[in-house]
Amino acid sequence: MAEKILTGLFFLFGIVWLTMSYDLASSNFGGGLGLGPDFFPRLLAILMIIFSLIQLVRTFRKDKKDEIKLNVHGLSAVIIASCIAYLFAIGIIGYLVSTFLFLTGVIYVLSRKRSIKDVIIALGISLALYGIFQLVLKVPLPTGFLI
Amino acid sequence: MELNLLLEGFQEVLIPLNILIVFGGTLMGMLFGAMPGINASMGVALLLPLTYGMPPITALTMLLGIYCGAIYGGSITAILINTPGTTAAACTTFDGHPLAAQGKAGKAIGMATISSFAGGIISIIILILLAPVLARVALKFGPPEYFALAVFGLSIITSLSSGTLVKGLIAGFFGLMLGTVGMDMMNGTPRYTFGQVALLDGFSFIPVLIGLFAVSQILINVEKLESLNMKDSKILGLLPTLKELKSVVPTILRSSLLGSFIGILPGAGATISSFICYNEAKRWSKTPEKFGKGSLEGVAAPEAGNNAATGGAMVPLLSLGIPGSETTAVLLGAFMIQGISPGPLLFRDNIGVAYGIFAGLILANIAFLIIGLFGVKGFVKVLQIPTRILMPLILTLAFVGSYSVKNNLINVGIMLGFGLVGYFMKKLKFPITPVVLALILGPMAESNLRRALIMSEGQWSIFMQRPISLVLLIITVLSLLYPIIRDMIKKPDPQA
Repeated sequence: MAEKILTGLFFLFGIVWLTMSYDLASSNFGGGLGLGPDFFPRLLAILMIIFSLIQLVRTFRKDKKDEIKLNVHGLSAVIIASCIAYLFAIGIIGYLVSTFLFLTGVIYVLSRKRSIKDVIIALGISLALYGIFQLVLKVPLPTGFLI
Repeated sequence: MELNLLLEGFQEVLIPLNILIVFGGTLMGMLFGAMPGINASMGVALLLPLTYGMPPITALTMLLGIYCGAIYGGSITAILINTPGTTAAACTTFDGHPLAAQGKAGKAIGMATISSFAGGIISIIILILLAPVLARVALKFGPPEYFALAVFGLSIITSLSSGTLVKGLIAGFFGLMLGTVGMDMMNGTPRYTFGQVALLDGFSFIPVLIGLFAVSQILINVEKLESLNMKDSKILGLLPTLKELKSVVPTILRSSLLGSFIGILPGAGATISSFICYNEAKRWSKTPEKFGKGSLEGVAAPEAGNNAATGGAMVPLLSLGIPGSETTAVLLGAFMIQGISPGPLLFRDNIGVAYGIFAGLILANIAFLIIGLFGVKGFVKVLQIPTRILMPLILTLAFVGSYSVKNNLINVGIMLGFGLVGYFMKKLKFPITPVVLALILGPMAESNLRRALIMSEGQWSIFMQRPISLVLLIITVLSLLYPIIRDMIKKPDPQA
C-alpha cells in the first residue's frame, strides 16, 4: 500500500509540474521554437507521469506477499516529531537552549534511562556547537526569548 | 610534464594551518568512515559548514581529507568487529576479520593502511596524468556534447543503483524536476517558487543533501540502534613485516590500477571496485585457498582498490564537472559553495586550484597513513562513542549545517522535509543517489539542451550528427536497456 501511495505522489507531482508549466509565460528567448522556460519542466513532467504510471501498474500487479511494507518504527516517529519541535523551538527559545533540550530528550529516548552523565554530555555538545559556530565561525545563531 | 605546477600546488597547500586542517579533516573522515551507519558522503555533507569561512584551498583540502579518510576508515571496523564502516569496506571483512580473530589485527590494519595509501597515491598519479588531457578534449565540447554527457552520467547511475530501473528513473526525474525550481537561468523567469523569495535561487544543495543522505539514514539507524554499537576491542599483533609487504606488491599494483579506472566510470565507485579487486586478487593469487581465512592479499586487494577509486572518481569531476558517485556529488556542491566550478575551464583559467586539489589529495593520503600506522590504538578508543549519543549529535550537526548555509531556518525546514522524503524513499526501495545527481546535473542538462536545440533550430537530430554526443547517447541507451535485456535472458525469477 505504502509503495502505491509514494508512487502515486510522484505521479501527482508530475501532474502539478505539468499544469504549472503552462503558467510559465514563454518569452521570446527560444520561444518561437517552444524552447522557453516551460519547455524542460514540461518534458520532465510528462516523463515522470509515464514512468510513475508504469510503476503503479507494476505494484498493482504484484502479489500481496511481495509488497514492500512500510514499518515506521516507533523510535523513528518520536525522532521525527522531536526534530520538528526542535526546529520551532530554535526560533522561539533560541539556539543554545533548544539544542540542549533536544539533545537531552533524544538521548533519553534512545537510551531509556535517566542519567546525569547524559545530561552533562548534552550540555557539553550544545556549548561546543554554540562555541564553534557562534564564536569561532561567526555564524549568527538564532536567538528567541533566551539564547 | 606539469611537475612544477604540482610543486606550486604543494607550496600553496603546505602551510602549517592547512596541514593541521588536513589532519583534522582526515581524522574526522576516518571517524565517520569507521562508524557503521555513517558513510563518506554524510561525513562530507555534515562537516562542510565548518569550511564556509575558510579560504578555498584550505576548505577543499579539508573536504578531500574527510573523503579519503572516510574510505580508508571503513576498513578499521571491518577488521576489528566484522562490520564494515562503509559499504566500500565490505570485502575487507572477508580476510581482515579472520586475521583479527587470529590475534593479528595489527597486521591486518597495517596492511589495510599501507594498501589504501598505495592505492590512493597511484590513483592520484593517474588523475594528474589524465584529468588535464580530458579537460583539454572537453574544451571543444559544445552544448550537444554537454547535454549528452549529463544524460550519460545520470543514466549510468540510475541503471547501477539498487532497486528497479523504473524506480531509479522516477528518482532521477524527481531530482531533475526539483532542479527546475528557481529562476530560469536563460531569461530569469521564476519557476515553481510558489511565491517564496527564498526559492528564487532554487533549492540550496546542502540542506537537500544533508536531508536525503544524513537525516534519512539516522532515522533508519535508530531502528537498529543496538547493532551499531562499537564493541570494545583491542588491537593485538604487530605491523606486517617487510617480507609480507613484498609479497603483496603485485596485488597492490593490480588493484590500484584497476580501482583507478573503475573509479573513473560514473556510478561504479569504491564499493564495486573493492569487490572486483578482491575477486581478481583471488584469481591471480598463488595461494587462493587462503582467501577468506585471513590472507593478507585479501586485505590488500580491496583496500588498495577502494582508495584507488577515490582518485579515479576525481577525474570526471575535475575535468568534466560530472560527479560519478554520491560522495563526489557532495564534493561538487562543496566546490561550488567555495566559488570553484570544476570542469574544463578549471584547467584553463584556474590551473593553480586544480593542482592545489591534487596536492591536497596527496596530503590527505599521507595523513591517514600516519594516523593509521601510529595512532590507530587511540583512534579505536574514540570510536566507542555510543550510538545513543552519536545519532542525536549528527542530527544537531545537520540542523546547524543547514542553517548556516544562508543563516535562515527555512533551509532547516527544507533539510527536514528532504530527510523525510529520503526516509520513505529508502524504506520503499527507491534509490536516493539519482535524486541528488539529477538535482546537481539538471541545470546543466537543461541549459545545454535548450542551447543545442536553438543552435539546430529545433532539430533533435543535432545529437545524432555530432560524433561524441552520438556515442554518449548510444552508451546511455545501452546502459538503460541492459537490465531489461538481462532480465529477459535470465529465466523468470519466481522471487521477482
